[in-house]
Amino acid sequence: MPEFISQTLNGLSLAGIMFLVSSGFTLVFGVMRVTNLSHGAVYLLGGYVAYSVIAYKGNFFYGLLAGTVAMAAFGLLLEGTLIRRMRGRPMAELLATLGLVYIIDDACLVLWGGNPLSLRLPGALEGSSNIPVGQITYPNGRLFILGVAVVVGIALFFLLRRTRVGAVVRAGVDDRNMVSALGINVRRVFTAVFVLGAALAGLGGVLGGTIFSLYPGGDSDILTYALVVVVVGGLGSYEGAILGSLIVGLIDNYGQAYFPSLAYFALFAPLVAILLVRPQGLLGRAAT
Amino acid sequence: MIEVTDLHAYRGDNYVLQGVQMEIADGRCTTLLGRNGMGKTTLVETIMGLVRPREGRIDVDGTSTVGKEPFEIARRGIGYVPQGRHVFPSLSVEENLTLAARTRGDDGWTLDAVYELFPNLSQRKRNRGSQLSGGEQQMLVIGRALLTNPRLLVMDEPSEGLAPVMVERVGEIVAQLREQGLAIFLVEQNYRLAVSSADKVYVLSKGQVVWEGGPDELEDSDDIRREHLGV
Repeated sequence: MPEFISQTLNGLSLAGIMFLVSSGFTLVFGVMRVTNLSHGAVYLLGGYVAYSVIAYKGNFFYGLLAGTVAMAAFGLLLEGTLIRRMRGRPMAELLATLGLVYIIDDACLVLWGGNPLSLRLPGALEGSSNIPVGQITYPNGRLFILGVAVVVGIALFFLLRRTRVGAVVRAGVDDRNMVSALGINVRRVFTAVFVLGAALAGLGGVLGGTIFSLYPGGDSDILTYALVVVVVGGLGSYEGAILGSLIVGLIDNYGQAYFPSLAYFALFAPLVAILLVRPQGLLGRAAT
Repeated sequence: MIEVTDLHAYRGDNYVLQGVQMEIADGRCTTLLGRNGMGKTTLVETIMGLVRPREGRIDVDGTSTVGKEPFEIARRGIGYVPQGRHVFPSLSVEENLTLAARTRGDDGWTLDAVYELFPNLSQRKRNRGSQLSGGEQQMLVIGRALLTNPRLLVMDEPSEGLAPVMVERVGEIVAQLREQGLAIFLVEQNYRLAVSSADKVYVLSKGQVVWEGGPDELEDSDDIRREHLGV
């Protein structure tokens, strides 16, 4: 039983990282209809930036902040230059963001080398805590990830559900032409969503770097997870990203823990089953 | 307020607007009649910036809007009620209404004024847009456009798919808004509604304006009605 609780917590912290990456990915797709293939590379770059800042400053939290803010700035730059020029041409967008993956990957290889790098947690998060449920001790670092994901998840929920900006974003997912035809500057909405998505990917990269380490190719691993999450949850649906992350995170972790040789099967078989029943994803709306 | 000059536009490979010439006057109700597939909605969407014209001019208050984005055109004071209504299904009724609200002076439209005009909406303000009936959705998108406090209301087939009693209600609303001095561009297939509301009528056929005049003249022109409108 304690083993199972540990594995569940592992799955949940994995889900937390998936949520941070996939929520931005799905919102960008929902509002802008851009499938941003460079989203995983932004995740990786955020982690690397944090690595250097931690090495220089000696404080994990500076790295956390730097990785997030730097990726927000990077997102602003990308959206303002590359993405904006491609608007309305899905193939061009796809190719441009794919090309970006190679550029970012190679730049990371030059700057940080090919060996896996791990982000060291600060002293306070290095140890383990006793969990009242099941009498287990569990690493603080993973509890921290879980906490950050929950806080971000709730904050985003309120932003989307309770504010006017959030209403504009949801309306944009529904029907962005109509939003524009009502006089709302959709360009600004696009930029804001893209920057938010990049910042969340960067944050995910910093947190992910503490458990997966950062390595060339780590970006496509996380992008695959994000794709699976948003397809299962429903493209463009924020709640779908939460639900999809929980499902994928838990299944993937149980699979690797209990049926290691079948891990990929354990991950993809339920997904195929879900898609057979609901092709639009669990919380997605059928295309109209 | 809007002047359309020799406007040509395509939908994919279809040559839809073939040199449209028309004018939408301040404070009047201009209606556009025509059968299905004659280019009415394409004309509206081109005016709103949702379709890019291949050639021609659209001037709003004397300045060209060709190549501008929809939001820039809407901000010139145009409220848009699209064909098919386009309620935001995941927003509540109230969010739908207030989403794009803009104020204009002290005497403009407010949320309360819209609820007064459409009491049904105020009873359902917490419902999602997708939970409304067709008639309520039509009221919702009219209210949504009014809250941007436009000088011109562009309505594309507001009577489509509505029960006769709701079509009548739409006619009353148009009349009421026109009395308040709002310019209206009403695109309709419903001949009665269009003619009873209009100060000026345009008839569109195969992407061109084939007739223009007052509603009374159209009532007297049996051949035009028969040939281009089938009534």
